[in-house]
Parts: sequence; structure tokens; C-alpha cells
Amino acid sequence: MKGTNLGEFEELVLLVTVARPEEAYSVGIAKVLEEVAGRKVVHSVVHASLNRLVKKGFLTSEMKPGSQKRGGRRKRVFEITSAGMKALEKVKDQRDNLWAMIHST
Amino acid sequence: MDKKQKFQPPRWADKFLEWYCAPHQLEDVQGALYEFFHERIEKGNTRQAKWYFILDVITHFRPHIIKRESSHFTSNHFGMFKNYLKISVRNIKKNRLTSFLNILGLTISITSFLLILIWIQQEKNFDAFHENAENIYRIPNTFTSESESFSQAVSGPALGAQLDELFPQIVNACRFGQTTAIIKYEDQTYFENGIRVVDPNFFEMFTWEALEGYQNEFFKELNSIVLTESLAKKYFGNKAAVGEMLTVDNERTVEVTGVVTDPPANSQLQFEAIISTDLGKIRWENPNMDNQWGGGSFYTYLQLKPNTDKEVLMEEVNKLITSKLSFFTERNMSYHYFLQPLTDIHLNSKLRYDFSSNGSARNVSIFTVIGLIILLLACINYINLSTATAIKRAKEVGIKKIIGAFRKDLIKQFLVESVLLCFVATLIALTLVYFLLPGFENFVGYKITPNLGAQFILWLLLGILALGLIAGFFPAFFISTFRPLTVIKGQLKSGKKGSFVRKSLVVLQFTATCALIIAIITVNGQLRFIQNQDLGMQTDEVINIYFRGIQSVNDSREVLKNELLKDSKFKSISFYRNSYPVGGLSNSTIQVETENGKKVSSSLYNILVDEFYAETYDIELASGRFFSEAFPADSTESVLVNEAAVKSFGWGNPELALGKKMGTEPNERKVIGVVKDFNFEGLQKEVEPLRIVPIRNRNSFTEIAIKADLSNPFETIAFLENTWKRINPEVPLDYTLMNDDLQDQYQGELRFRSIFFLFSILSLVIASLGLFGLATASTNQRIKEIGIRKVLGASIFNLVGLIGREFLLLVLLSLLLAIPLAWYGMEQWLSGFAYRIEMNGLFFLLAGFIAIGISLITISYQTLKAAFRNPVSSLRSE
Repeated sequence: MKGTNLGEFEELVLLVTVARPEEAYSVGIAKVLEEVAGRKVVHSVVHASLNRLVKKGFLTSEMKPGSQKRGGRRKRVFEITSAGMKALEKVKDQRDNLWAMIHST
Repeated sequence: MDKKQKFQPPRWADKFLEWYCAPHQLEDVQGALYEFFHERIEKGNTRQAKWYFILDVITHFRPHIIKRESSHFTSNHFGMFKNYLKISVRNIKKNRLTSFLNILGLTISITSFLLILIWIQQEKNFDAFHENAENIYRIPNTFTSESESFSQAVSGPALGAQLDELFPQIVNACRFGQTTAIIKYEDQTYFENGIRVVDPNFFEMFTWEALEGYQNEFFKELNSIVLTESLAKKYFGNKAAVGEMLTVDNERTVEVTGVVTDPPANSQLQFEAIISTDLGKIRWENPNMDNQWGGGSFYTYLQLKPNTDKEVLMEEVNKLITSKLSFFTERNMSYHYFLQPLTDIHLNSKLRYDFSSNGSARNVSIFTVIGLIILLLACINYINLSTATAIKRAKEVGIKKIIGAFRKDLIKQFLVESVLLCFVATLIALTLVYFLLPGFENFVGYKITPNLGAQFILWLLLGILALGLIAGFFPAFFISTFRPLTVIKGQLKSGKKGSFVRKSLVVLQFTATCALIIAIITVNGQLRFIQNQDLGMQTDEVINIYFRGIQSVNDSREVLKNELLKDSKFKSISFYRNSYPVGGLSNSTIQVETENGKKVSSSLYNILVDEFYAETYDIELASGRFFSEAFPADSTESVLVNEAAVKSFGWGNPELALGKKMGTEPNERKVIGVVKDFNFEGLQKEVEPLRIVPIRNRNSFTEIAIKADLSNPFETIAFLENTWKRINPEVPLDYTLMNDDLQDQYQGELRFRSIFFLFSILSLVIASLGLFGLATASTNQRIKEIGIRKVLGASIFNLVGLIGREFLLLVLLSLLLAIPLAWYGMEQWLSGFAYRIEMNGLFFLLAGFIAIGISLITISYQTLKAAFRNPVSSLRSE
């Protein structure tokens, strides 16, 4: 098993799958990230990161019918697992704690 | 539909994606890319969309997308592979003769190939071991005068002394000069030929390993000498050498300041002892040496800064040198300097005064080709033998196919077999190479240190695999085509199948072999021609003594001469200065009067001699007379030239040459005679213009030529030695027989001949092995036919003819094909000689006899055995 740490980019990807379940497939996530983060996101990087998250057990996937643009091909839609949710919360807690330290001084 | 097609992404990019993408991810990834594509089209720019699609396909070429899902159904290749190996081993054991012939052929060829490879690796890596090798260059020049132009390896001494200070791009400049000396240690005296005069940065520029002393301090003192390991051992045994004192030329004491390892054989810079150029200046009595830009006898090496623009540098260097050489420029002579990469010199430099140890790129390519031919011959043997005996494997193939083997599996089986054979052969070959290397070094003429690292082993394994695949490819495809039904029913006609391919391959083999035979005959003929060529002088009776201008010998000159000439075996004695007509002469520039009285500058070879030179060497006169004691003015007023010089200056004929003027006042001389051309250089070169000058300073002789009756050489030389010892007890006698020295001139060629001969014989052996195997197979298959013929009354002669004819025709055809090939190749080789034989029909005839003779002998054993066999034994069992 690979480490269960979340990289920065992985965290973003994971967050998008929770925040925008209707866009939770590779192309959709890439677009949302471009909007939110305001930076150029390469699709193959998102794809790689999704694969990694599935391997770590934070995401599950399912093939669902896609739009006409895809030439009739199905798309792989992702959903977060409870382990994924926990990992997200853990990261958030760590950050909150650190921010709290900043504000308290 | 049309519209939709217009919006398809580029087909090839799509295909590429489908090819590399793992199947389980393809739908998603391809879908995603299509989605991007169509979105971009909606934005309006179709072309851009297509470009982006291609870009996307390329950026998705990543491991996580390419990587296939691991399957749970890995088929057991290993088990099958074990089975292939087992069957291969069984087959090798079963067909002993065929396997033996195959392995023998492959072993011989791989051994030869490895030896050649090791040699080529050595030749190509001359001086590559120096750490700075890629930044070091030699700076030779092209000299041009009004009458000629030539390139020489040596340069003016000022270049090495000053260039590195004048040009920032030049890190180091180092001169490498050659000299000899008498070296005395305690009571032992030796002539040392391997003394080199170098600039102190020699040890910084080039990579030598110091065993004693410190490289930076070798030449701190003027009177220092650095020895190689072997020379130090010769003088001091196992004692430490540093600090010992040696006497040079009986006049100067030098201290040994260092010992370095012997230069490796693959270096052009060979030396035994080293002194500095500062000491050289004193030895040569030439204090102004560092400012001489012209002439010179130093090889000069430059170490450039990495990435230096060489063209710009050389332009500047040439400009500078031209400005320094106004003396030459005024006389319409010029030096044009250029650079030679250090590692390139050994194989690709053929300049005047170049190292005699230089190799030849041509020979390297010739032997590469021969090595490949030998490998090819062994492959062909394998192919022929395997297909000729394929019938033996037919049942195996048939049964396997029936049980369900695919053709692919059968091919694998046969390839495993051929690779296995190659592997075995390579192992044997490696052992052989290990034992043969010392012998091979004798052939090659220097010590070889093969480079056997991990890389070598990797290449070797790859080589085995490649060789096995090449050899096994055709047999594997051929045998695996057998149809099970025909085989099992026993309807497969043996031998006929693939016989055309087999015959063509035999022809190919024998073409190569015949060509090599013709080549070896030609090479042999040419070398014999050279050695027997009339050189225009007699060489059989000449002893040359090299006494290096030692004063005491010069002083006792007349005594020695008189003592020797008392004995009737000694016919004539001539003293001269550096004018031994073997192994190269010096040259110099001079003003020469042409036919219409104008003076032009030109460069000629020089001979500085006494009155007896022509007599001693039996050099004939074309006109005029030689110097004589009867004309005392000769030593200041007269000069002789050779016929080549007459032609070069346009003087018409030798008679008209008499009285022409050479040189400038006050050193002007008149031509008093013309000698017929004699070859003072190897016969690779034409005779060049030569000037014979009587020596003026009678104390500057360096050599003696003695014409003596050598029919009983030991007696003659014993007498010479005794006389010498009596007159010159201090000086060792260093003599050579002229014929030996002449032989040395062709060492390269003689070596070429031996290596060439060796490998030609080997290829002949391999081809014969193949022929033998084929004859065996063919007689075995026709054993019944022969039996029936014999019963019906065919004579032994008929039967031998029946089988022999088939092979002889092939050999004849090969001979016909080989003739033009060999003709062309040998013409190329012969063109490297100024004096050469012409290709001769007799060579081809002789080669034909040899080829046919050998193939007859090869097949005769099998055919005779078959013909003499009692027909009962072959016909009984049916």
C-alpha cells in the first residue's frame, strides 16, 4: 500500500469530487480546478492523480454514460470513500490548528 | 455525416493513442480528449483544435496511462522454455557430426571475430587514455615552395615554446622531439635510442603515472632526466632510481628525478627517457631554438580550452607565423599550419616524418569486413546444415503440430537451439582467445590490453543473441512449415526443399573465400615484388654503423678505414651525416636555377656524404662525375642531384643539368653530376628530388656504411667488432645490416600479410567445414540411389562424378563471381604503392586451383565412402 498522505494537488482533486459531484470525472475536475485555482491544469496530471487516489482507497469509480462530445464513450465518474473523507478532515484539522496558533499570538 | 467527419481529430494521433493507452483506461482517456477537442471546435478554431489534440495525445504518453493492468493469467513461458532447452540439448547430442561441425565453425569464427574486435578497439583508441585527449591536437603543416608542396608532421620549435603564451585559447603547448645518446652508469655504457626531448608540461598535458619523484618537480633542475620503469630497471635493478647520476655522451652528468610507467602500447608517444627542451637546446647547441618559426624536427601538441573555435584560432596562428617567416615569404615559400585531433593521428595521419608506428584506417576497415565475412560464413554453415538435415526433425515438427503447437512455438524452439549453439561456441571461443592472445600480439606487433568490463559482457550477450537469431532465422521458418500430414505419412521428399537457397548460400560462401584467396595471392605477390625490386643501389653487402657523431670516432676515422680495408672482405667504406638511404632523410629548402636561368625556391631531400658514397652503395651516374679527392674544390663548389630532381626543375636531361647553380652566394654550388634514381624511401613512395652534398665539416659524420663480403657474415662481423674495439674502446658498436633495415620498412605490410593470411585460411576452413557437412548430408540422402546405380553397373568414377559435379559447379560459379570483386578490391590496395604489380590472370587461375582442390579434398571422403559402400548394406533395409 502506498502512503496515505495527501499531496497538495491530490487534496484539491479530492475536494472537487466532494464539492461538485456532478463534475467528478477527469475532464470536469480539470475545468473546475482551472476556474477555482486560476491556473492551467493539464488533464493527464489530473488523470494520474485520480488513479493514485483510487489506489490509496480514497476514491471509487464507476463508468457512466457520457455526453455527445465524447463520441458516445462513457466517462469514469468518481466518488469519495469514507477513508477519503477522513483524510480530508485530517488535513483540514491540521491546518485549522496551525491557523489557530497564528491568530492566538 | 460530412460535417461530422470534418470534426474528427487527426486519425493517426487517435490511432497512436489507441495503441499506447492501456485498454482498461482507453475509453475514459480517449473520451476526455474527444471532449476537449469538440469544445475547442465549438470555440471556433478547427485547426488549433487538431493541433491541441495532437499535443494532448503526446502529453498523455505517460507511464500511468500506458501501463497495462496486471493480469492473473500469466502463461508459463518458463516451463516451455525449459522444454525447448532440453530438446535442443538432446538434438545436439543426437546429431553429433552436424553439431560438431556447427560448433567448430562458430567457434573458429567467433574467436577470429573477437580477436579482430579487440585489435580494432585498440587501434581506434590510440592515446584515448589521456585525460585531456579530446582537447589535445597536434599541429603539423603544409609546406609550399615554387616547385612542390607537402605536409609534414613536424613543426618549428618556436610554436611549442610560444603559442601557449600568445593565445589564450591554448592552455598548453608541448614539444616532443627525438634524440639518442650514450648513457653511462658506473661502468656500463649503453646507446639509448628512446630519448625524448619535451617541455616540462608534458606530464601535465598527457596522463602518465609517476612511480618515483614528483611530476611538477621533474625538471626543476636543468640536468635532470626522467626514466621509464623498464629503463630504470635496466640501470638500477630494483634500487630506487631517483637521485642516481647518469653520464650522457661522456660529457654531462644528469640526475634521475623521476620514474614513470612505460607508455602503453596504444600510445604514439613512445619514450624510454625524457629530458627537457632546455637541456636539448644545449645538446643541440642551438640557444635561439625557441625563436625559430620555420623548419624544425619537433612534434608539437596543443591543449586547447574546451569548445575553442579551431578555425578562428588557426587563422590567427597562421597569420602570426607568416609574419614571423618573412625570410620564407620573400622567397615564395610558405608554411600553412593545421590541427589534427590527438586520437585521430594513429589511424588517419600519413604525413612526411610521421610516426612509423602509425596504423592505417584502411587496414582497420579491411579487417572489420573480414571479421564480418568470417561470422557470415559460420552462419551460412549453420543454415545449410540445419536445412539439409531438416528431414530428421520433420517427425518432431509433425507431432508437435498435431498436439497443438503453433508455428510460433516451433520457431521459438529452433531459435533457442541456434542461440544455445552460439552460446556454447562463444564460451569455447573466449577460452581460446585467452590462450591465443599472446600469439596474436606477435602478429599485431604490440601488446594488447583488452577492455573487458560489464559493457563488454553485455555486448557479448547481445552478440550471441543476434548471431543465434541470424543463423537460426531461416532454418526455424523453413522447418516449421512442414505439414503434419505429409510428414506423418512419410511423403516428405528430403533434401530437395530449400536446396536452391542452400546452393546460393554455398556460392556466397565460396565467393568470399575465393576472393580472399585471390587477395592473399596478390598481397603476397606485391610484397615479394617490393622485396626483390631493384632499388637502384646495392643493399646486400652493406653494414651500417650508427655512431651518432661521437668525436673520438670521427677523429680515428682514417685509422678505422685503413685497418678494415686491409682485409680483402671489406671493399669500400663511406662516412656520412644522417644520410642512410633507409627510413627517411631530412630535407631543406634551397634556391635552384631553372632551365631559363631564373631562380626558384624549392625543397629537396639532402644527403651529406664523403667521396665514397656512390662507390659503397653502387649508385650509378647518369651524367657527370661523383665527388673525388682529386678535386679539392668539390667540398665547397659542387653538388649532385638525382634524375627526379632534373625532372622536377625542368632541366631536360642529365647532360643539360651539369653546371646548373644551386643555393645563393656565398654558398652557391654547381651541379657536377646526376645520379640515377635510387629508392631512399620505402617503395610505397616515388623517388623524390634529392641533393647530394659533399660534407664540409669533416668532424660531423654520424654514420658509416661498409661494403663488405657478407657470404660469411659471422666472420666479417667478428673482424669488424674486433677492429672497432681496438680503435674505439669507449664506444659501443651499433651496426645493422641494410637488408634487415629494408625489411623493417615493410613491417606494416608484412604484418598485414600475416594477419590477412591467418584469417583467410580460417575462413577457408570454415567454408570447407560447411561443404563437408553438406556433402555428408547429400550423400546420406542419396545412399539408396547410389546403391541402385552401383547394382546396375555404375563405376566408382561415375558415382564420384555424380556427387562431385554438383559441388564443383557451385565452386566454379563462386570463382567467377569472386574474380571481379577481388580485382576491384586489390586494385584499391595496390594503388597505395608507387611501385606495384599488375593484377594477373595467373592469380585467378591459381586461386581457382586452390579453391577447387580444397573443395575436392573436402567432399572426396564422403563421396568415396558412399561410392565404395556395398550396395547391400544401403538397400537391405526397407
